[in-house]
Amino acid sequence: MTQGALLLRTEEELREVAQQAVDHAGTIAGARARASVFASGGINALVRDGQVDKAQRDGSQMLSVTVFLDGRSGSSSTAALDPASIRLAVEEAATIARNVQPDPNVDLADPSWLAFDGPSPKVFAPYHGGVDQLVESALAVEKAAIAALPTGKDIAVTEAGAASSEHGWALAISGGFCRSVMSSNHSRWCAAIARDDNGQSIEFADSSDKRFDSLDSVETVAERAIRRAEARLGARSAPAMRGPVLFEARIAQVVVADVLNALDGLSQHRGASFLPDAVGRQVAADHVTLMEDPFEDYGPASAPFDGEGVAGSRRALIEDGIARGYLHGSLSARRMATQSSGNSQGAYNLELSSSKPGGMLTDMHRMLGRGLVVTAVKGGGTDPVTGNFTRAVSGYWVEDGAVAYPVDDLTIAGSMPDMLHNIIAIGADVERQGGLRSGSILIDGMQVGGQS
Amino acid sequence: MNGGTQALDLARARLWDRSELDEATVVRAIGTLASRGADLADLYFESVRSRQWNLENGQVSNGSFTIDQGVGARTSREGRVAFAYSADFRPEALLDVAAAAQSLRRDGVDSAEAGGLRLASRSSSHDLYAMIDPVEQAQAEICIALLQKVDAMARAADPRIVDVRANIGAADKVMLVVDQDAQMAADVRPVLRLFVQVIAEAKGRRAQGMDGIGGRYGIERFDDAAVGAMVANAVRQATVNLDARPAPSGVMSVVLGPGYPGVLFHEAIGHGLEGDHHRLKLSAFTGMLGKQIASKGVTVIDDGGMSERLGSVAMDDEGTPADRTVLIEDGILVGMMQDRLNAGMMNWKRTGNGRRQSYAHLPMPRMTNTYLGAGEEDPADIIASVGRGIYAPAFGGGQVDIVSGRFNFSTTEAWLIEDGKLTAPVEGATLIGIGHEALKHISRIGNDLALDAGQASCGKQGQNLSVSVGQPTLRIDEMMVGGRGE
Repeated sequence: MTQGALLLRTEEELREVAQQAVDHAGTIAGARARASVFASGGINALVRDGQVDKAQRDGSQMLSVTVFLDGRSGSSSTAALDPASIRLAVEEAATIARNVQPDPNVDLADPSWLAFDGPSPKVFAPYHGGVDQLVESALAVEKAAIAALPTGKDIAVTEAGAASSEHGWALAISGGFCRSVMSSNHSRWCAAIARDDNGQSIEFADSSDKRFDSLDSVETVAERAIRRAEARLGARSAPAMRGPVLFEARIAQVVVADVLNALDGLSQHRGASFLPDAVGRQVAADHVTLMEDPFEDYGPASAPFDGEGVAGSRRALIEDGIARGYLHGSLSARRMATQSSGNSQGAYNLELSSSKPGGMLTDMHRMLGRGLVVTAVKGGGTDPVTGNFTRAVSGYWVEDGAVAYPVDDLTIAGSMPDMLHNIIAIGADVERQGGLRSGSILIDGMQVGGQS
Repeated sequence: MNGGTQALDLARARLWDRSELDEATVVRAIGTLASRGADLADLYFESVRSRQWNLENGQVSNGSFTIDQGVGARTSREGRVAFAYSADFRPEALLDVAAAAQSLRRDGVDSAEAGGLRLASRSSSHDLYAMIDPVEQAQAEICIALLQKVDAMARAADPRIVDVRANIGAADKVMLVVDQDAQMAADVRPVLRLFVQVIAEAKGRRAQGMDGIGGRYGIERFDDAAVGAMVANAVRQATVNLDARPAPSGVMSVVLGPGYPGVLFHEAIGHGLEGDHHRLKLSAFTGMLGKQIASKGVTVIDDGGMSERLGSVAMDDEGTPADRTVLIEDGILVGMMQDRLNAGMMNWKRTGNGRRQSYAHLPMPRMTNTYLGAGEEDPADIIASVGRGIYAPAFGGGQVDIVSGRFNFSTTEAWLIEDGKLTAPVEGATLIGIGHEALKHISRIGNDLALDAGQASCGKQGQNLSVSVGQPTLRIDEMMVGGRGE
């Protein structure tokens, strides 16, 4: 594996720091420890009007150590990684552990759960260009966006940018675990403003990938931003109604994020989930499946193990509408008398799908018939306990199965447990946003609040 | 007393002396940043120690301690900025980070290194918050006792409370900024926060409630009265929400309670009056200066100089002293919040709003303590004036699109108003509007101005800061309420 140019610490150095922290904890009677070292380095260029508006060099590092003493734990973090700072961090964590109250479920992951070996997905593709190449790429996005501007419409490019970063992570645990992961991230983006009689709005488009060469092209990102801005012209409110709403693939996350919170082991144990005792129960329409995969090469949420050293697995979280598993770290797993699923830092790559073919976006429009298609979620939230779901959104209106006009200033509301059962179809128009792969999602029985 | 030479001495000891950093090296680094025609440059040194204790299941079984520190180096010419930062304070690292920032500048002019600089202090002392160390105060014994008291109070307040989570967070930030003229300023900023979240259960239904308090003060402020009021709020919210029915949907009158609901003005107006979006002509309020944008009687102020408030900064992160900026006066837009870069380019006065999350982030114009001033009406009369609408005393937070002025925020406690009376609690709803339009629909302003109790924070372009928000009870006609009822 080649060391990139952006990271100031080598993978070996990070492992040494993590191991030093665990070794120092070993000198404290009865103590065991877990130490995690992160380092990242990156460059970021934002351009406006053919010039660099902001150029930034990032470089950060942090050691986090947790010391366990007789069912108690203390954590400590430091940005300074010299030997004296490492010792201080360990001692501070031990002092906290001596002073807190015991909880029999607080401990390191069981050694039998640890990923001493096992698959390590490829997630590192360092950037070989320099600052100048990154700036050129950002300028090229802006230039392409200007070239894509439609005539006779009040649309302008407001910024474009490009960024590359490298990340190193080492994890050491008492008992001989010491592994590390190098990863990278590259992105380019563009923003355009659209103005009409009702005001102005900015639309973004971006592409992000572990591999620079897999980014969407400069032209694709630029044109997408312009197209999105153009689509906002003439936006108005829409009629209030109760009925189906289509969530475009790029915002499918808004539905799935709530499901992940509800399946989180700690929430389940506290009774703070709108899907109580979910496993084995029909929690969604019977054609819906949500798969998790930690090991896909260059997946946005791929990792060989979690922050406790436990590997995830390729599995169904929801299969044919039935919940099949929770997201467990060690603490929630022990509280619920089961094993960690390696999800102490959340879910890995996810794929939401349906056994009923939903077709492409135009097919989904036809299935919707009349109603709202959501393309952006502006705010709002979901009550994690009751599942009451309410959001401020914008998008476009569909009449007779065809796109009618852009809409804004709308609210949508529903009850998450009902919404999951009311999923009518998931489209074949699959997009990947963050760690989630999904098509557009058609959900019936939503309350749409509008003013016209 | 804080600031002045006392803060400067402490900052130099904690930030420079331990890394054997001397004045000559700092002067060389700032000289590098100020060279090649820079019209703005600074070095920002920071060290933050923080401590947190968490309670769940009636036990405090973990706690954490963090030391983060670093230096940010900025150089700018005509608004174009280059920035680099490092967690390493050693002399050679400081010179490297200054050189890295300067090398990112592509518009440099060939001119001599800025020479002849000498460090000088320009921070003055203040009494907005004391130079205490809440991290030292927040030791295990006292915090565990306090958190267990929160747990006991919540469970005793109502037998339907089945779960309590609470945490205490303490932080001590020491910062020192050196600008292109080698002027130094330093400040020591304490932060203390307490947060509680409860779940109530009855008849197979569950609901949550939450509240928090905090300030730039010592732990003695977490007395029984303050903690008791916070717990009572959280318990009331949870138990009220047990009986909540679906919120209505549609355009109606909304009465906002005093205090934290002021987050509406933070979102709907405040962000649109930060100088950066104005300079780029990207604010929904661009071109409205001097115009009547709100109902008469509406006055909105940003004041970084309020005693012990989490949004208070005696001087901002660029060394500009705190100011009280009137943004809207009797309905007319009169002010704007500025940092150094935008004030300089717009030929506007600096207002002490140049804030940054940390050394790893660039400063930008940010709010401090922002509130809508008191009116004269009795809050009870305001509720009684509404035929059908909702009353919202608690919110979970909100967002704004600065460019369009569109904002939204979500209730965590709300009631239906029918014929002037609160008749039933309703579930959370998202309220939406457009800042400059909502302002025109403010029809009644209460006499009960309050600021939030210390639970507010603000995110902008990925940077989080503590702020305060506030307002009296207010009636806004014609707001879009998005509940799941009809």
